[in-house]
Amino acid sequence: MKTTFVFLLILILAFAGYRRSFKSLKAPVLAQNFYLTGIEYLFFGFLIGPGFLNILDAESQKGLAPLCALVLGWVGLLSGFQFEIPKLRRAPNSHLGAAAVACGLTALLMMLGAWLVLPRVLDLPDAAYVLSGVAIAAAACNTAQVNLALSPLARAPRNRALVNLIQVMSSADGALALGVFSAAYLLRPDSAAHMHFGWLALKAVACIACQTLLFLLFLNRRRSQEELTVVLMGGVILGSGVASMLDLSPLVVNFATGLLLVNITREKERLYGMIAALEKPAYLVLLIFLGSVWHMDSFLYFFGGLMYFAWRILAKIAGGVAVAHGIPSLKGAPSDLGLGLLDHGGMAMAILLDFSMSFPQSYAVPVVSTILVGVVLNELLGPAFIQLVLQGGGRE
Amino acid sequence: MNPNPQLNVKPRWLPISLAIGIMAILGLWYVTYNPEESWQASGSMNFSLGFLMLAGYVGAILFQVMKLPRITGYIFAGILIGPHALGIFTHERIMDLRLVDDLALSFIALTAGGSLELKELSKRFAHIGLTVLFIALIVFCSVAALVSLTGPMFSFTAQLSPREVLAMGLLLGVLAVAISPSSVIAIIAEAKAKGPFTETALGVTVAIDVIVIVLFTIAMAGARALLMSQGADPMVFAVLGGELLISVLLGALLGWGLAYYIKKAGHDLPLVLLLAAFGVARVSAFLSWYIHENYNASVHMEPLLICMAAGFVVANFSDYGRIFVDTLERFSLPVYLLFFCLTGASLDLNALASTWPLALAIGFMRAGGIWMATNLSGLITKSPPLHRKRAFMAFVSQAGVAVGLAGLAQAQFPEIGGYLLPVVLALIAVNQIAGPVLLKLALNQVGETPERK
Repeated sequence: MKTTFVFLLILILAFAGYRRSFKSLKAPVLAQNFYLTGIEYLFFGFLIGPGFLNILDAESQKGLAPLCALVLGWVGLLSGFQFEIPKLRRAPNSHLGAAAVACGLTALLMMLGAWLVLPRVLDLPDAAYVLSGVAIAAAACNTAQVNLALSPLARAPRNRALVNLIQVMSSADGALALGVFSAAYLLRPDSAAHMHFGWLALKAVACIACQTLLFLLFLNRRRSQEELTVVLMGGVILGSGVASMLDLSPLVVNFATGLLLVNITREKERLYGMIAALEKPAYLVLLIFLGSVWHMDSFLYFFGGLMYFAWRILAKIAGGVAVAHGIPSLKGAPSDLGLGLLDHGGMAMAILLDFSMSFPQSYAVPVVSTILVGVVLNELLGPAFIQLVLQGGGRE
Repeated sequence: MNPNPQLNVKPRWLPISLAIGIMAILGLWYVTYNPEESWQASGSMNFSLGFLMLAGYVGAILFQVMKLPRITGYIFAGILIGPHALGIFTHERIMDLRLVDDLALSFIALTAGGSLELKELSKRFAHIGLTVLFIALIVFCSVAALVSLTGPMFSFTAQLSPREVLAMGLLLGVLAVAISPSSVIAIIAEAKAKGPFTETALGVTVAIDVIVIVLFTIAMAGARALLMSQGADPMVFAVLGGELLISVLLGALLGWGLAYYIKKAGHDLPLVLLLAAFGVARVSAFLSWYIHENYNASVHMEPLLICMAAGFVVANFSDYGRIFVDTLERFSLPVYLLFFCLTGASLDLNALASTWPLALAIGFMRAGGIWMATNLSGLITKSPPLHRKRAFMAFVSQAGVAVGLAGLAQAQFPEIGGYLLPVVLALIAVNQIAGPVLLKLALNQVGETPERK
């Protein structure tokens, strides 16, 4: 009964929010960024989660595991669909290289920072620090384009090249962030104890191949919209289930399947249309689930969040400087480029949810709670930072 | 209107066979899998649900090729992966997904109400009324007589006393009258059937769904008199009448509200209908509990009747019937798939194995009774001979209502409940497999499906 109630509550929040935030937004300009990123749904999740009202309690979370797996897989699949090779080829190599450099450097610095700080504030097994550091790095290095899209300066002709660079970087770094996150599964003690890398890779290949093959076989002829819904939902839930059972990430598996599908199937346009149609409600449901993991019962999380926010800015700036000075064809890029890459993308939220679902709560909850504080700060201050970068865009 | 444009396209066998092969490998791996960590347990739950959806879909494709109803495919897929066969879907998992049952039944009832056209129904009022009357009388009497007379001959019921056999006959007689509205509506929607035969089948099914509750109350009173030597309380019937009336009124109110919403807002209608379906199921249960707790009275709202009345009001007393029915149809595939797969997984094959001789005898007697009743009403109302001959095929399927009522009887009369429930479950297993096939066949033969028109 309670699970049913929570299920409907989440659906109502997601669909009403989707209409409110994305279809009929009349929010004040200053609050638009907040609404458009759906961050308020993290608070809804927190409100109904065990950290506050406890409506979405452990029992309900268990009952709603398929919904959680569905939205996580859905976001993964959709992200994979955005990596169509012919389209990627249109992006300049220098831009893709910039994404790799900035993302890699940010991840490295975040990981170092986490490994230095976490043992001093949390009492956990050694492996937990490593895994937490990897998760923090993966979430931190991913970026979105909401601030860019909302900034009027982004439409100025003098900023065209810079905006294009930021767009490519923030599109590509989702895949890189997932790559970093995959390392957490490789380093998980139970994985390391029972198997070596080759075995885990084999399982991942088998899981992705199975899911992709099933999709291809079911979609070998044109299906109606309703049949597509059933096949997609069934396939995503099944794929997520198999991934979890094999100690793999549901997010990464679905991402890889999406990436393969978009480059193989002829039905990609219809599939993409179908997946994208539910993107926003699915994302809002994901935020609600993620918010329910959030705990605010310790000042540590708040201070940790502040530190995360500040350290991430430094890491991003370092990434931007490396791009501006390290990639010859981008010599004209502003040195404060990193400030334009502060938005946390949807992939970062999905990574955190995946982390909280697949790793022990003893360190998943502190990590998620800390980063979410940083995310909120970022959404509040991010627009100001992007303005700074774009105001200087003409230097290019 | 047409949710499945390629329904009649033959599948390509190689891809389907390969998909089945991959799923078989996954299924075999799953049954040997033992989750150790919490995420593995969640993963295993997700696996079984995803597997159920895809298996149901494959089952539907295969059965469609054999010209059988898709819902029979869902049911067979459910049986195959359910606790009595592969065990991918366990009893606990079925219980976890009871929510789907509640929502799907309310959705189906909304569809049923929305499919009933007042104009057409009024033309066939006499035919529907007579068919309901004859089915109720003939099926009840024949099954009750069969069980009462032959009960002691079956090893399963041989140890019951004559009074207990008689009480069991009474209850089984009523339960045999029940039809599965969900199956009838799903088959009609799947076949996109339209015409007098379809309208009559729908009307009779909906009416019997109400009548069977009245009959059950009478049978319970009779059984109580036989087993506990208590007389019938006339207040019971007054309360029952009140319950039905309130349910219809609540349904009408809900229907008016839905029509008003479509007129004024209209967006996110599927979500609103989902809420309405959930609201009806839960509020009815809550009201029954509240009245029982606070006034020590037993009043049961009928969620199915409320939803049917709501659908009927939107379809017949507003301008938004088409939008309403189209929205429900858009979601019919996933709803029917999950609901009937779960129905298949819940079918108790153990009960069938232990009570099949009695269940089969009742099944034949029931089908014969329905055949006689539909022929008789057809003769009196001068319906076309083909319709008359095929009418019985529309009313064979049985499902949830009968199980629910049998559960109530079991709770009330534990001395015969242990015998009653397995027989009902076995009877349902037979009828739920045969019923949809027969109905689809009948709809094709009377020419009310698009391919036969």
